[in-house]
Amino acid sequence: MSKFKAALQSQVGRKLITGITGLGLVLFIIVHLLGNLSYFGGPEAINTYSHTLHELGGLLWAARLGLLVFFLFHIYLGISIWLEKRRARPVGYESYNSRGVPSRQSWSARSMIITGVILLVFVVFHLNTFAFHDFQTTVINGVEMHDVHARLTEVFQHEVYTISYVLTMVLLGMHLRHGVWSSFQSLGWMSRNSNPVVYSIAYILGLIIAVGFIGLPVSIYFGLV
Amino acid sequence: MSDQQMTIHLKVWRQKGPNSKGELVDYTMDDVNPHMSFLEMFDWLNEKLMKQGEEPIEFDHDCREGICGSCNMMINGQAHGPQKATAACQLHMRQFSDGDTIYVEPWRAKAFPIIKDLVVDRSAFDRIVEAGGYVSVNTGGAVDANAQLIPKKEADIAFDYATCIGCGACVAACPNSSASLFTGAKIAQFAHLPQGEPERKERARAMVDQMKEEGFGDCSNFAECEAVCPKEISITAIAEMRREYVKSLFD
Amino acid sequence: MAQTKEELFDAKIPEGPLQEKWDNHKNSLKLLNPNNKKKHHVIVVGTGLAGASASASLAELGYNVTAFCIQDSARRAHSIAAQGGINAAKNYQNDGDNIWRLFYDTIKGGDYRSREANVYRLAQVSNNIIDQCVAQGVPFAREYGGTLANRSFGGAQVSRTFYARGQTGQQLLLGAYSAMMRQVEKGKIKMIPRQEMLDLVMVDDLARGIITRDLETGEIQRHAADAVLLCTGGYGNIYYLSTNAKNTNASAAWRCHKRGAMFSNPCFTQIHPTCIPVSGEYQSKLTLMSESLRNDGRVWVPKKAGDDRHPSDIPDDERDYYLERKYPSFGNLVPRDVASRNAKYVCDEGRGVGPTKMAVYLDFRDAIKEQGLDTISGKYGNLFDMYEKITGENPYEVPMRIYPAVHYTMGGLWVDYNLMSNLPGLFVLGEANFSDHGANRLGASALMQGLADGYFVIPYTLGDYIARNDIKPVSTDTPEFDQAEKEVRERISRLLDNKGNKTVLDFHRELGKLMWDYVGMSRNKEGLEEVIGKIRDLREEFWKDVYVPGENETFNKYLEYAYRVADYMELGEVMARDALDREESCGGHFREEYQTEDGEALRNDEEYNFVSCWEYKGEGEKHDIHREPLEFEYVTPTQRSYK
Ligand SMILES: Cc1cc2nc3c(=O)[nH]c(=O)nc-3n(C[C@H](O)[C@H](O)[C@H](O)COP(=O)(O)OP(=O)(O)OC[C@H]3O[C@@H](n4cnc5c(N)ncnc54)[C@H](O)[C@@H]3O)c2cc1C
Ligand code: SF4
Ligand code: FES
Repeated sequence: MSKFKAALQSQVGRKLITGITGLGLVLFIIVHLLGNLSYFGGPEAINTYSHTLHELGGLLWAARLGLLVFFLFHIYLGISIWLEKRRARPVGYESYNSRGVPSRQSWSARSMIITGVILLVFVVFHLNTFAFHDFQTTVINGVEMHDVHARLTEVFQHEVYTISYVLTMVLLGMHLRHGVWSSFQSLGWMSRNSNPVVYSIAYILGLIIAVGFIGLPVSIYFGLV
Repeated sequence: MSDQQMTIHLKVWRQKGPNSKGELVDYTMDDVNPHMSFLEMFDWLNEKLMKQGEEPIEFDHDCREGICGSCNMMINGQAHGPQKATAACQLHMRQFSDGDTIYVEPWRAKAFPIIKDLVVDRSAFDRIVEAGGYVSVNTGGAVDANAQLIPKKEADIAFDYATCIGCGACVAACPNSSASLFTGAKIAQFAHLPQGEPERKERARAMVDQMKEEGFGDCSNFAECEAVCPKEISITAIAEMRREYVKSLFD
Repeated sequence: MAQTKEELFDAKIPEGPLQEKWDNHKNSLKLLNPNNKKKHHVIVVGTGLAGASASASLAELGYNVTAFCIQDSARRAHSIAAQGGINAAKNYQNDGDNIWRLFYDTIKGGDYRSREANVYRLAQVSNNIIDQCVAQGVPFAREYGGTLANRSFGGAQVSRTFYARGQTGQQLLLGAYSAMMRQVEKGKIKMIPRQEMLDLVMVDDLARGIITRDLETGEIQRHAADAVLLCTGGYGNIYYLSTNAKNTNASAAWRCHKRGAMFSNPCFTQIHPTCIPVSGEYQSKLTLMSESLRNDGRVWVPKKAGDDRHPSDIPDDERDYYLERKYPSFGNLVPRDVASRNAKYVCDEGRGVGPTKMAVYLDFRDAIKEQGLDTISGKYGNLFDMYEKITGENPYEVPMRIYPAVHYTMGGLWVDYNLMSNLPGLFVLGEANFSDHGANRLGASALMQGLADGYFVIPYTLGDYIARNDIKPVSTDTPEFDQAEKEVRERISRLLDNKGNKTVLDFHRELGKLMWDYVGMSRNKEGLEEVIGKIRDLREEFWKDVYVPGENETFNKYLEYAYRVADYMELGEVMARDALDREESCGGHFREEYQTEDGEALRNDEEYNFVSCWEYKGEGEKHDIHREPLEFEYVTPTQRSYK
């Protein structure tokens, strides 16, 4: 077992876990996004969706716990890798430039720690705004449930919240642009041929997720739905 | 091709010794021939410095044809300079223009301490190889070379990885100072050869662990290493290293 | 252990038929039991193919090895740069090759100036080398069926050259280096990079240690052992411009020579015909273009001297395809020395091309027309790219410009069949010895020799030496070490304190030019006599006027450079003397007075069938020459003809 423990602390293991947790979080984000999109189906759709989720009970808690663990590991490793990198080059260059393709050193790649930390802060606020907030209730088909729809509609009337949400989602897209591709590489799944393909897919995925998340608040704010 | 002499402004890192403080020093060369190699320009500059009684700039070099891996210069912020698939010694001044200012700095990484000026200590790489970058066969008693057939495709892949010259550009250019491309290339080379098979697991584990031991950073998949590698070794080597490592955990 | 001159030149060739000599010899060598080996300590200077393979093999046997090299890693030794390939008599191609043929080609290629027994052994062990390297994971080129690929190289009539793209030396060296690193990990080898040997220490007439300089800190160190293996490569850099790596030097060998080791055949140097020409005064080294280019490229110069037209504006009837004209049956594929010499002749006539007029064209126009661009780029693509990188010209459109350059030195320290010099305990391996290539080395045989020496000869012969001589440990605290260290320190101080007006490079360039002009591709009595005086003058001027920057106690490449050039100043004279003494033409040594009517090398087997051995007689004194006669029992020396 100590072999595995050592492995987890190795440079390969650390990235492996960062990758797995990252991909797990992406999965969560996609589900979350689909949930969000149900807003466009009207109050009934999103509220029922949210209610069904809550009805899962123990299962939901297990998922939440898993998510939390993934999240914490992801954050811990991200920060630790960043610290390690600073240690590995105590004196920097006076002049530094990327050589360009095939380098993947995009702005999003270099700013993973920044986008990551901002996303962390965002998540705290986000949970406070939605998860830990007292919801009004509504009755649908005779069942009493949280009125998520109303809460969303209310929150995204606020300029500050909407703008910061939109900006954060842009950062999320960036984080994913490098992160998704990177996870595959960290898991050792890439080959010379699949590299550019997966890199492009990651780019598109990041874009879709960002646009998807931005769609909702913008629509609400401008009263499009 | 113009043979016009060029004026080149250099900003070169000068540092007297491992523990001294260094700084960028300005030099201007007004008779740079475009057909000179980058290192020949340095030879030329050193001749001038010595004739003025100044200390020449120290830099590592040997083969001057891109194969020994001795030369190491960060040229305008790029390891080995702007030309693809080219070590600093093969870079020629025709890649620059009259009046250019060029920054020249040493490889920078904790695992590559500076010895003097542009010269660094890359013995960490030797220790990574020492950890497992070999096949344990003694001299003598090898079977006939054709006794074991190796598909050409596999042999070619192994060769691509084996071309690493151990220059350290991958580390120098990596924002994290990771040695993953160097280490991955060796692990991947043996992973594609039957000779590498028996020690496959131990090798992957030992070499990966040694990287960390030496103080190189983690790999964040920037792929800058592939872009600067004079032998254009693909980051697939790193993916292969990770695969090998994970496989090594399961007996 | 004073020796008579006869003993000195006993090559210790074993008895018996040629084919059985090595086996007989191995049977008669004394063995050292494994426990005993562990008590012995060997110094290996140099980590090229010879040094790395020897270090690894000896450590595997149990010896404690301390290895040194100049570069920051053992892997960067000059052997890394070899491109073409390595020969072996495997006969995998079923084209009639065998050990005898490889032996015969090598001895004939050397123009009958090497020992039959040595060359035969080389051919014998060549096959084991390939097996060994493959077992180490060296990725040689392969056929689709998975077997090893071969190519024909350097005009050989069989396909016996094994290769790894254009990087054979690199792959072989990395194989030997990794074997070495395995022993470093086991603690059997202590690898000390950036450490230069500056002197040999003899104790009781046995080679027992070396004095070194730590190239990072300038610290002068003493190292003692039971035997010293010199694997320090060749001295082609004496010509200033050569294809050798910049750190390649003669100093280690020269220091041993000054301690009594004989220097053999110093004038035998190889000039390679296809190198990228000098482009300007700033030129620091020359790059080799593979010989294989001559399979399809046609060599020519304009018929008229001083013809400055663009090559494509010169019509065919105004071009002189001089190799095809003079050697109708071999054409562009004549041996290295013939091709080189003829390039010199046409340039001397003023018909050279390019900005410096010291180059000839190697033209692929017709080959591209006949075989198509794709075929040519398939064969030579990487070479064409390399050429373009260096010259900025596209060889698919403009003919390549090439010129000969110094490439290899066949001469070196004298060794017997056991690879031991005349100083007991000092063994010399690889390019540093004189042993196997006679007056000319065939392509792809230096790698073979380096590895043969290190993997398959020294492991046997070293044990015999130690077993027979009952070598006991020695301390570095002896008058001999004191004296050697003192001399090293004095030489360094003398250089540093000089503060003259000319740089080391100025001197090296001047010496190189003298060597190239007088002791280069073609030599004559008058010139050689003249140049000896010139070298002496330059040497005197060097010690008066050289400027060496900085101090000893730091990384100081120009100081290293200075003591190496100082040694070249002495070696150059001996090379010239050797060339003067050898009144015949053979292999790479061409004396203008001794040529056939057709202008070919004319050997004199009656009088010059020997290995010259130069003995150092003291500072400023003239060297003495001794001669080891060569006997040809199995082959009959013939005159080469390429008409
Ligand atoms: C461009 C080029 C291409 C070639 N191609 C081929 C080819 O295709 N096939 C072929 O067979 N041959 C080829 N050769 C020749 C061949 O490469 C060399 O002859 C051979 O590699 C020499 O090996 P070595 O081990 O004797 O010495 P080297 O490889 O020269 O090693 C010398 C070692 O000694 C060390 N050293 C030297 N002096 C000291 C000192 N004073 N103190 C400590 N260490 C010292 C150096 O650091 C180095 O480690 C080529 C040569 C050149 C230049
Ligand atoms: S992987 Fe490339 S950049 Fe890194 S050491 Fe090897 S050759 Fe140099
Ligand atoms: S000097 Fe050898 S690779 Fe640049």
